Amino acid sequence: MSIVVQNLRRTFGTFQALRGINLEIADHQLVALLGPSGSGKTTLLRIIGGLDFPDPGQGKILINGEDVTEEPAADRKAGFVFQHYALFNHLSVFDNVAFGLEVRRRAVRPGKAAIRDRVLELLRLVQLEGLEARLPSELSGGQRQRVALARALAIEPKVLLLDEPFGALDAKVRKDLRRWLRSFHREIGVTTVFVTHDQQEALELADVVVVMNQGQVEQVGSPQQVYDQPATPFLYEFLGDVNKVRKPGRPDLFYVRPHEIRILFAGDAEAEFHAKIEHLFAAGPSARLTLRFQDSRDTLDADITRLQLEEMGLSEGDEVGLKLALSTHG
Amino acid sequence: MSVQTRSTQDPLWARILLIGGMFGFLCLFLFVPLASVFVEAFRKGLAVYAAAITEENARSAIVLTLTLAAICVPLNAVFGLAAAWAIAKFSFKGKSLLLALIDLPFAVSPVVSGLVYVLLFGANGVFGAWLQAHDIQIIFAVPGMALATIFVTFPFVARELIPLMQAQGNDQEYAALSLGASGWQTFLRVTLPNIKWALFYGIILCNARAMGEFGAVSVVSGHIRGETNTLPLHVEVLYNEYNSAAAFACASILSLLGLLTLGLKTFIEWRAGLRRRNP
Repeated sequence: MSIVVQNLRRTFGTFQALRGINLEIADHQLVALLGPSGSGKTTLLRIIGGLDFPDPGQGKILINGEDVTEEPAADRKAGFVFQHYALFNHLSVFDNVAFGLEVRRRAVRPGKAAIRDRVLELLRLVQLEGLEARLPSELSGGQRQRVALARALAIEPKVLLLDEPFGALDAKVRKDLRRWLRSFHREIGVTTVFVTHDQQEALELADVVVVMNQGQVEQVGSPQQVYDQPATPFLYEFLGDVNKVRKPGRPDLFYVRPHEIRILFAGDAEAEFHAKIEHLFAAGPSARLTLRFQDSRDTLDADITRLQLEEMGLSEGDEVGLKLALSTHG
Repeated sequence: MSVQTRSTQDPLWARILLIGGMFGFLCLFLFVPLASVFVEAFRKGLAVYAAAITEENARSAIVLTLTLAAICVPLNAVFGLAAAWAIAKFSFKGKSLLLALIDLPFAVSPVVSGLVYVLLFGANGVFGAWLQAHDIQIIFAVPGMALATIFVTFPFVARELIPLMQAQGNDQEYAALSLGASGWQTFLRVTLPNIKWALFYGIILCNARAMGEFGAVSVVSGHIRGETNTLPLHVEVLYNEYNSAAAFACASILSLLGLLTLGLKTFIEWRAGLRRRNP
């Protein structure tokens, strides 16, 4: 279901965590809230989930067009998955997943058999069949995360909210789970918002990336949009590697990503600038050159293919010509 | 030096000296006195022992002690839980003041705590005249003793729970709320199971102190035999009357209660440890 955030403000003491957030999330989307720590992304997620509330009268949350700003978490039906899972340690996997159904009022609580069917179906969905009798402490981090997901899904949530869902996992598991979550979301189709500070994760996983900084939304767009057309200097620096350099002899700053620099022979007529290869690092799929402009103290990084490196026969200390795909900001 | 020892191990003589010294010390200051209580209690035979603890005043002291514990322990379990909940799960103004207040009973002498109640509720106290006019007896009666005991034993449960609840954080409670649980369901199904061993441990310590408290209760009790004498007070009375066999017989009951507490405490620590390793 759709989520709309209007003019949302949240202050903790004198710290303004959210300074007027406006955001529209369409049904079925997988949305990343991306930003450095302290940017307000988790606060926003908690307010959408009803675990925190905006300053009185400062903003609204609509889920499926309905104003839920004042609704407590228990009535909001937002499935929340916590960074450290927050599984109930004393309950089995089965009882964890069944929790949201067991606590319902008698009138709307499914029968024992129905609960059992639903829980087992969910565990099948998150690929944890046969582990229902285990305690959370007997599971790996990735398994715990999936139990938390199944538990959140048991209440048939209107929206699914994930706070740094892969934050506490090691790199390998993280990658697998990321891929799994992508196809999982396609399968269940619930509007999902996840918080992350990892740009790679956001760009790879989300349909829409919302980049936040200092309590404000800096840009909303598809992963490609935010990467290729960053709206602000902050975004340029935050999303991916970028060189921030002055053109030789001119005062204005410009930003250029390492893969946006073409390396030419020094004598090439197309060359806009000339620079010297100060350092060359080629242990990877591509080669990275650290270049220093002539008559300047600025350096910049450029990525070229290993093939080009070999064909041009470049080595440290060589003089090269540069042509930049310029996207200037400053 | 030709003898090599592993770097983590002290020489043999040092180990013998330290461990032996510790056991000697424990023996002298803990075990011998405890054993002597039982030796003294049975010195004049089983019949005297039985008579001493079934005698009317002794029986009433036992009943009163158990009554006080039965009043104070549940109340302090609830107060302690409430205080720990407030301190661990919420941030509010005056939180550190509340923390300091919880420690107050540990900081002041029990005699002072008792005296405060006398000054408040005694015949010449602040509320004395009003209480007398309405014929309510607090000092030199069970209500005063219960008040003094509650005061002295207040910190045990709260102190036990606060660090645990702070370490656990709020995430599980939030998870329960987001799954649709009410506040009460969250408390019963999530919070309570997570703290039950610490709560139980706090209750046991609270109970031990409630039954053994002397100073504060002594001030407010008035030592009316068969009415306001608890077991510890009864022991003192008997001892002052040179009735040492009976005094030690009653002391042995207190000691047994202490040993029972120790056993329960060890059992709980073992269970809690078991849970931590293999929950």
